[in-house]
Amino acid sequence: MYRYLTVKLGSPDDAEDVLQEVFFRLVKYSYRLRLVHDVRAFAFRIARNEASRFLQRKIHGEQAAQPAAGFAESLRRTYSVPDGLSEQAAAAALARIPDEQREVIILRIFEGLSFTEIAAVGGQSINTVASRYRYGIEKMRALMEGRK
Amino acid sequence: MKHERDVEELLQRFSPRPSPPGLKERTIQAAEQKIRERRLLTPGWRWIFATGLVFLPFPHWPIGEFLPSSRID
Repeated sequence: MYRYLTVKLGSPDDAEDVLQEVFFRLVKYSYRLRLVHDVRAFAFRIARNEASRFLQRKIHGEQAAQPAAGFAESLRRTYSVPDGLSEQAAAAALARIPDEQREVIILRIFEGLSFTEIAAVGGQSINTVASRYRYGIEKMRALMEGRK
Repeated sequence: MKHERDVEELLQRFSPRPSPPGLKERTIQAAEQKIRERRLLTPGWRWIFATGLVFLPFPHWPIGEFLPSSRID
């Protein structure tokens, strides 16, 4: 989750702050956890909401949020990207696809969540999540092949 | 479909770096501290505090007249 937050927020310090808030909320709502069908998806949903809230506060405070600008850097900080040309191209392509597609790919491939879980995290339908994933992968492939 | 798998396989080669040292301890400590802070200002106290603030500008408002015990006569 720390890695997901670092990549989403673009800063390890911000990710740690938000992670603390997420953990606090999980403790606070621990009585509800027994009723939750999928605790992992629930935890990621809290993390996603807290990250969005944090970014909104940042926009109001600093007039500028740039999580995407630092994405490539934060990805390298959180994941070890092999030196191969294809892997480097994949990292660059991942940084250039739309946020919502990138988020689904990260949750699916890096965090190992199923489409059902990702749909619960973002409050979207499974079809939407699956389409975003497919379009994201397709767009990455196009970028890596030099098409648009 | 084959190409889709190619991209997936490339991404799966990325290996997660370890979390910064002490992250777990700091997270637990911060959560404990927040829980302690929130206990001091429970929702009930928050309401009492907010109500007090509302009535602060009216120190001579005869609120007692509305209480049942003040309507003896």
